[in-house]
Amino acid sequence: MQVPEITCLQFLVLGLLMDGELRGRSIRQRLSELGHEKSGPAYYQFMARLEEAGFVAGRYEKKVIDGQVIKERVYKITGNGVRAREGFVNFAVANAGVRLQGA
Amino acid sequence: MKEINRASDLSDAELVILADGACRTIEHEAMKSAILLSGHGIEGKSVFAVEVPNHLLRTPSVWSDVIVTDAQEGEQTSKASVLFMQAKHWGTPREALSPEQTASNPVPARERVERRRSPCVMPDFPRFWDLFAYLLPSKIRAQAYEPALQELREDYLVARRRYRTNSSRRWLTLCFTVRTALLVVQSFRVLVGDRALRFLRWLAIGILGDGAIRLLRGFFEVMRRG
Repeated sequence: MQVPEITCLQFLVLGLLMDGELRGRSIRQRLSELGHEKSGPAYYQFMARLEEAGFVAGRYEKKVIDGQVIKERVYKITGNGVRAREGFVNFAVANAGVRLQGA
Repeated sequence: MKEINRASDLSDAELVILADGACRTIEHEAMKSAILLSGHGIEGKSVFAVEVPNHLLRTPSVWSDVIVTDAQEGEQTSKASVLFMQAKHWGTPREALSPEQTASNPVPARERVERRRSPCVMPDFPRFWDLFAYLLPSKIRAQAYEPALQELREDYLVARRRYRTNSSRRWLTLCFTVRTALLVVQSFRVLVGDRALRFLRWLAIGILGDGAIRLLRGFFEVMRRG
């Protein structure tokens, strides 16, 4: 079985995005709740890597607060991302089975 | 080119922007309030005529495509995305657009408007925050710093809503300036990490071949957990 292309944290983010588009801030908050705290730039760099790998697609959404325009990053999972996540799950399930048999 | 000396020279369907930067303020007679215009693709030129659909003039805040006439390039028209806002609390430029025509004040109104520093889209937002970004390489700036800065801006605006006195807003500005400086430091950390990772990867592939990537990935996974 092929080793998964993604790390555990990437798996987690792709899982969050399975329900649909999410704001960058919301994903970061969820990760923080799950114990993966990252600084803003480190988090967005991490998301940029996912984008470069073709697992997620990001775009800026304009938002007006008190008459001032804010650009907000919004992400959604791509087909490649769904496949990579499934690959991770299959890998984990397959290997868990091997371990159980050996135990 | 239309000469504007007072607000009543502006018609419903046409606004002439006296531009010297990214932001312009125009007073529209019919609205009795200021409209702030800022757009992409119309910066860096001197005078434009913008044809604006009437209904937009009554909308509090909206991005819209408008037809822009470039007076310098033989009335060529193009489309631009422009932000329209009613900006009552930023003060109207009535005095600039309707000056008293006296001998003691010989400066034409239009010239006076152009000489003034135009108000910004974010009037109280410290502009040097944006300048911090230029310490960073463009890739890190676009990928890591800019989205994080936008989050910070949102926080700043939400906080400003709650505190309206001058002193508290000055304090907020100071706090957010410090946070922006921290953001730059964090971006540098990302930059160093990125470069170090690439170097290690290059080194490992050079020495151990393609299998090294898997080894490195495992190593970083363990490091992250540990």
